Amino acid sequence: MTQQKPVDGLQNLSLCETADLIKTGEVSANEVLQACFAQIDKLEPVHHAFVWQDRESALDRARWLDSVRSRGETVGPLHGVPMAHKDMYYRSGRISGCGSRIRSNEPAKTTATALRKLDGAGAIDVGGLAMVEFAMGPHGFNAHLPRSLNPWGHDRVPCGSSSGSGVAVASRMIYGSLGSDTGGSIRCPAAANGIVGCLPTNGLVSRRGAMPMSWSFDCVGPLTRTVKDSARVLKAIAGQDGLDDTPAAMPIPDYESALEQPLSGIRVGIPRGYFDQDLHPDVQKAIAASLDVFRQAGATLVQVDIPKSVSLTSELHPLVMKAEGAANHRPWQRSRKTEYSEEVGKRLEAGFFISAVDYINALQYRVFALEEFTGAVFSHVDALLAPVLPMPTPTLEQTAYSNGPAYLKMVVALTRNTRPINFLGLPALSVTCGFTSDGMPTSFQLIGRPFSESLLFRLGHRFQMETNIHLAVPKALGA
Amino acid sequence: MPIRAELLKELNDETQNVPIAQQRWPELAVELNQLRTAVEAALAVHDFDRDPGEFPAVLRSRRA
Repeated sequence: MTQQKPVDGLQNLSLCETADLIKTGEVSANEVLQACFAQIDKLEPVHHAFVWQDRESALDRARWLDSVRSRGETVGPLHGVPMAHKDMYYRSGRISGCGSRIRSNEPAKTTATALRKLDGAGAIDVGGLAMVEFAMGPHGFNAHLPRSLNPWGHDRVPCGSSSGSGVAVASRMIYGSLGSDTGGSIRCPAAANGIVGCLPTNGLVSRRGAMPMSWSFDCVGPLTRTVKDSARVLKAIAGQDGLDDTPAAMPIPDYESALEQPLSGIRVGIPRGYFDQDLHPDVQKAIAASLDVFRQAGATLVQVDIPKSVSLTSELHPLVMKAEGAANHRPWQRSRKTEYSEEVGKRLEAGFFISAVDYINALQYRVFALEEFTGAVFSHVDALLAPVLPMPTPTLEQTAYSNGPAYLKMVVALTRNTRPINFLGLPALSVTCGFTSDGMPTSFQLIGRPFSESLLFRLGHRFQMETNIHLAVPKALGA
Repeated sequence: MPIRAELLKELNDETQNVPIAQQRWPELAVELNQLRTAVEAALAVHDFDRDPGEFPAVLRSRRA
């Protein structure tokens, strides 16, 4: 019976499979949690995904959830599922360090809406996960924390800034995690670690109680192993909360119920321009193979010209991000500069010299770019398929700060294909689509119209069902 | 006229007061000139009547 269920067996189940087993009483929340603890004990000493764990609270919650279940009830669709989140989601009275020294002693005054919603759906919060200092950087390194290691290759970056989320989910320590995405910080670690990352439409999920990096671009979204898991978590966290004005007032669809719908009539776009440039041949090959999967599954492939403005959005993204970040960090940058790592401390410096006029002109352009992109692309296709990382996952050495100009070039290249989507506010779903010749996973992102997450999930789910690439196990787990 | 490192340093001394290492000024000038070039390019489609606060409404209007 469930008592004899091997730990490895439980850990390899998806979030939805696990939640469904708990719901039917085949396994208890406590058993699942113990299996997670065993996996964490086995892998965390090397992979450093966690900043902190609160096992006592997690166990208390599992016991309570099991008592609820014993009465034949469940709290919600995530009943008993262990999760852990990027250490920037506040919970009242608890410290969320945001990957920094500066916030490492300050208990939160509020609880993040996304955490409250996950609590309400029955999830168990196991701990806080490693992240780049103040979410400022795409490679995943944080000088204040032990280095998080990519389970697919310890010599490769886990990407970031949601580095711990990518590592912990890929390593089967937990079933899902909240990350945040300002320029690619959900999709890049999802791609590097061979899992699924969802950037929701700007404004779909409340950011209340999440550390701000850039108000214009910040989005809260899940990292999971399957698309179905992502759909379930997004449904749980999306929608208005009455505290944050950004979430759009619209009903949140039941994403899971649409997953199995056929793809006939769906037009998948092959980008001509920007997203097809500077691609490594291995990535190109995986993308081409993915398109074939969609064609065989009944979708229509359509080549679509990408507006030239996308290139400009990529260049304007750092202007807006740095201006907003500098404004927010100004008191600390003045008086506590030495508490930032050298790499991150420098990152916002340009923001102090961007004029208000330039900043506002960039935001005006954002509206134009969105109108132009949606008009040019989504009048021809329903979703666009583009690579997340244009190159194989870089080595630790390639992204070392000491590498000077080569480092800078690599860091900029990591978010080349992701940051325009944040600028445009569109949803994107990152799905592992194959492996580069060095054995590292590589991903496409499905980019859709605003609030078209349901369609993106449908496409991504079908891809996973057709290929089973998502079932591949990272080397560090004994594959 | 490109932004000069000296100007940035003076601006910092007068208005921002952020501790910035001496060797960073030339790098910051390069970075800011790149950002300014991007903004100048964006002005080619500048619309006097465009309110940046319209962005969420435009997102909603462009849904399927």
